[in-house]
Amino acid sequence: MRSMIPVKSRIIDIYKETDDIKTFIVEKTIDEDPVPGQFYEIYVRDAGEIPISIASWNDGLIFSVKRVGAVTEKLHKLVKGDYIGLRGPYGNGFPEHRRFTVLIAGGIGLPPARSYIEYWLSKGAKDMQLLYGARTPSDIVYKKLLDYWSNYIDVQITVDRGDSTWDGNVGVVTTIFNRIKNKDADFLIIGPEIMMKFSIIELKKMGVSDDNIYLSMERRMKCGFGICGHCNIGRYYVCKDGPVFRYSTIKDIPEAIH
Amino acid sequence: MEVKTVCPYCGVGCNIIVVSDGNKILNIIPSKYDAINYGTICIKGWKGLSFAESNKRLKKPLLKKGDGFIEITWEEAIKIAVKRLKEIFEKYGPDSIGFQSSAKCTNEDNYLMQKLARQVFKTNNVDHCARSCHASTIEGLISTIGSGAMTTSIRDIDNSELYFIIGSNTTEQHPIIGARIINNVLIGKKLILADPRKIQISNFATIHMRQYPGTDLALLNTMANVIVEKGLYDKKFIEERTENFEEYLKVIDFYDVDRGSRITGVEPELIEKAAIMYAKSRSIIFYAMGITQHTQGTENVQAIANLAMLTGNIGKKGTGIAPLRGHNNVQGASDMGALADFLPGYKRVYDDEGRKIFEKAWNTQLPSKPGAALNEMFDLSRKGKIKGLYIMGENPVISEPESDLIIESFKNLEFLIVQDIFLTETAIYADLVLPSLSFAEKLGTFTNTERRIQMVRPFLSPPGEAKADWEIITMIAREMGYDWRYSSPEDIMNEISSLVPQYSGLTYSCIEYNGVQWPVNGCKGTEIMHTQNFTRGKGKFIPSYWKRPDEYTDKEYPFILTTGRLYYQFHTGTMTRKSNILEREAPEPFAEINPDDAKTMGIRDGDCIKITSKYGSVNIRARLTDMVPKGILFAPFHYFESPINRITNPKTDPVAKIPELKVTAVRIERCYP
Amino acid sequence: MIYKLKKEFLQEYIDDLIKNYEVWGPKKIGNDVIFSKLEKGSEFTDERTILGPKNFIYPPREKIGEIDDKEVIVIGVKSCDLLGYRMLDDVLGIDPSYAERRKRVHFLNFVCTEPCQYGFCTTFSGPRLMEYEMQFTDIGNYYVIECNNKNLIGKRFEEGGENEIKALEIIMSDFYKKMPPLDVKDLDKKISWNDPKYAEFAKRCISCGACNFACPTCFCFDTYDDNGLYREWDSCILSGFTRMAGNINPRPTLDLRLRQRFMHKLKFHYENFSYYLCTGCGRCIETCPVRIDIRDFIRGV
Repeated sequence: MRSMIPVKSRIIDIYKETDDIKTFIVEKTIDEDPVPGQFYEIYVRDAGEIPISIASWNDGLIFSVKRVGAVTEKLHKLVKGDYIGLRGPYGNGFPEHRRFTVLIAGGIGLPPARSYIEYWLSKGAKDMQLLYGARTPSDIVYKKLLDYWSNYIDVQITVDRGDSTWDGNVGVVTTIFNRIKNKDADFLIIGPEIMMKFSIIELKKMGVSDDNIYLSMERRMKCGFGICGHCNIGRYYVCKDGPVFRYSTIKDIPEAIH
Repeated sequence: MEVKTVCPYCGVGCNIIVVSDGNKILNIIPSKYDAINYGTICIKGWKGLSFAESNKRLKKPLLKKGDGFIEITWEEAIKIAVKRLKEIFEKYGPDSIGFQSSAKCTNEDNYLMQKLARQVFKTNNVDHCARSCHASTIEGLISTIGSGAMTTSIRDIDNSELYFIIGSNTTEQHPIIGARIINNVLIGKKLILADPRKIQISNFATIHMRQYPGTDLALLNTMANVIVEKGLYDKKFIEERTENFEEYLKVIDFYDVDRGSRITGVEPELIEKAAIMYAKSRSIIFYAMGITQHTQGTENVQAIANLAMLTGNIGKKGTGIAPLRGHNNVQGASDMGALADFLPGYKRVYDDEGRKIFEKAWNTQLPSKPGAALNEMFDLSRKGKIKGLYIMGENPVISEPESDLIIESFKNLEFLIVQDIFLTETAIYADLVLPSLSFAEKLGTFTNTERRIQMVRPFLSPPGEAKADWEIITMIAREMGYDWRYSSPEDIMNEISSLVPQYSGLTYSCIEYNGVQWPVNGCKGTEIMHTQNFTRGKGKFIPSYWKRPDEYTDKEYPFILTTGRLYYQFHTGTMTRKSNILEREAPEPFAEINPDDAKTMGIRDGDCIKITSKYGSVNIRARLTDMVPKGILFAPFHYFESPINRITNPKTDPVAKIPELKVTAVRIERCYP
Repeated sequence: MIYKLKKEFLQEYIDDLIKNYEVWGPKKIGNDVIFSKLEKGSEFTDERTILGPKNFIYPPREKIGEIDDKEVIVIGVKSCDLLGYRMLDDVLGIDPSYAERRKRVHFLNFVCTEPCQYGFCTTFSGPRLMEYEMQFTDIGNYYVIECNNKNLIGKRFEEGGENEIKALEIIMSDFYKKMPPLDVKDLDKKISWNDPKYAEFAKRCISCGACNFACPTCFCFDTYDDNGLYREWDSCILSGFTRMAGNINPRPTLDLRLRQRFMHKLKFHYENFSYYLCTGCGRCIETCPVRIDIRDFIRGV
């Protein structure tokens, strides 16, 4: 049995990351530990439920949320000490770390990437590389963490549009693909589908096989465990069979990457 | 329990069966009733009823205190209402109070609302939203054929050979009628569509004429010109059944097909083909707000009647004129005389004989001067002439043009009562809010677009202390010292059927299961009207020359804004926006713009655009679509977030006083929210 | 076990059930037949209702977490519907409130002996099921009753045997002759992502969602807040079904959504469960305002 009743959980702390992204640390009221790449359904009173990827966890669960719709709008208005509802963790999560892994994250795709990096760093794995693309320098999240990670793994950042403070790369994330350290690797792509689409094209050119590309897909998900029917890509339910798919699994489904 | 009742949205009046346990809906089942909905309903019927179960329903009377409201008892509420209304009545006279009735309420509610205005407060200042939708139909059809309603039936669509739709987005606004037309076209019947927008039903149009907004009259006159020219008119019918044909000929003579084409922007061959097809077939004309919401709305409607009479396409099976009514009970509310110039049964208020009937029945003197129309009430309150307003089930802040001025007008009122099921955008300005029942909790009748009077039955218990509108109005009348003794809606219907000729002799037992179409005689209805004679005797051709719409494009305002509704939302969204799926489908306002126009202006899909007219500006998201032709913008009016009626043209048809919501000259620029 | 019941005793049997249970069954209301709470056996008719009784196990709208503990008998359900609910079990079975209702609602199905206007059940399991609690077939003077729930045996039930089975089989073979099955072999493989029918249907579909709401196998729901979480039946024909925040929509047009409906039923679900998510009840055709016909679609594949 899987219950759809949210578990009341207190917001322990809130950090503002950017103009439209906030990080929430929430009391861990559910015993089950997540694995990197899984998500929770977060319930905000008078607004509804939304699926949010786990960014990190220890005493609390950490979620970074972009303000894009009615529920996130309301969530952003909550303050420390307020309550939200939680269900989860749901989904399959990222594959186990088995060899050199390149994470390609765009925009709000960084929080799920964080869950992977933190988890495997804590297990001593350092054969990872992060390519992160943000819209502008002020849209970059986890600035301190990015610095910290770069002590252990290679971190490459690019922005679509630069400004006076920015002396790094300007361009979409594929413009820094020449910095990929190891092509014989697992590639995890997390971000908008348009970014996935172009990243895949580039990776294919580099000779990466479809089996080694993993995509963290996003769909409208209402239940989280494959019964509400909203999130299917062909025969697969993103909430249950995903959100992480091998590219080879879904590439022939016309509406997978549209 | 299960009840058979009527869907509360559009004028089609689909029959549904609702199964409930009294507190929640257990199932909604479309009735197989073949006269209307043959086992089908649209998304609003399936998904739009949950508003009634919403936890946000009003449950107690509310009195304004400071910036907020406090809950009070009904006893207090009625005392306060009457005390304040009485004060205003005594201080400023009868016409200082306005009453707004509602096309969402039952016939019984509407009958009592106008009776309250006329008998108790001695004023004809009572009106409802038909003013902004079909007032021109009432005037236009009464003057030509004698009765302001659909001449045929929904079932009769199956008997027709051709459908001429002008100014109606039928599949979105009257989906089940639209579907019936499509089903008939699929078996080989013809469809002529006249609409600037490439709406869904255009997929099935044999001919689609995309006329410029506001040129309908010229188009209709040109079609008539072609029909006369080709000798395709019904001479016998004209001779025997009509008058004033010579005058008509003189006017339409002016509209040769080239001139018509120049005015309307429709290719001459298309107009010609359409005219010939219409004249040669057994045809029904369907129209809606695209015809009525114009400064020439009445003339437009008359032109439709003229065309039908010219070809004898009226009063017979498979023919006729079908004004599609927007609300479930806009027909009924009009029948009940919730109109500033008509008593129940369409007796003019200045018609002494008609008035006498009601003076006798109500034992009072009635005012003979037409009252203030819906939109005039706000003007008058701004001018300090109307001091009290009693609004039942209307939300003018969203639905009427120049809404800023309406809000301003509320500030001039000494007392504003809003009676509704939710705390609407209008209700927040009220001094007193009275919680009423929705269709889900009350008994009564609705009259649909084809004049069918149908039973509405309760299937939920009232939320909190909310009361039926008729009950609240009765309480007010009694507190005013009038001995109203209605203990049920049936009592009211018995009074209606003794006074309103169209409803003559009707009892609830007649419509226990299926409704009947008025005019009724006892339980016997009338499916097709005007079969032997027109209601006014002879049908009268009333020709008019086309005039340019009140507003037209110029350098400063190069676009024409036209407004309308969406399939998923209804009117001001009071019900649909509280229904999860419907709100999800159309959660935010937008303005449609042709991709070519957008490109020239550097506007991308989803960009914020600022639309400015003479009356103000509104920020709204652009939606690029070739549904609209170049030079035209379309925006729905449902949304408080971008209240498009803040900037629409308030100029009205001089006869019907309907605002020209369909044509406003505007300019657009990008905005950055 | 096989029983038979003289037809004139059916009312009495239902009256007896009413003494012990809440009993719902098809009842005529004017021109309509709907599932209604039966007060007495004489109200019962075995005519086909326009909607099946899906709402008893899966309400159109419910507060999340609310569990119904009422024991209900629904008599007169058609086999096509009942078969659909078994398919629902495979998906919704892990939901506690669904599972609880499913346990407490007993469906007694009636086997159709004449084809209905829109049905094509012979394409799938046909009008007589292999799994049931109690299955009634009209064989003339008697109902043959196939029974798997001893608690519901009526006092006038007589033991049946070979003869009844034979009578049943004759009726069934006659039924199959009158309603020849459609060819659905390898439909899951033959069905195309680019069938022109999707666009053709999209031209006239008015997005009412009836094909979903009337379907005994459609399980999709949406959730929303109204001072607490609710869920309600959803429809994959609607654009909001897949639209995400920021107006991103993997199925932005109606033809893609109609494609999803057909492919989910005839391909995706088959790939996951090895059966088509359709029982041939024909309700989606009957309740479609513009008569989009899944039979036409299947024949065209």
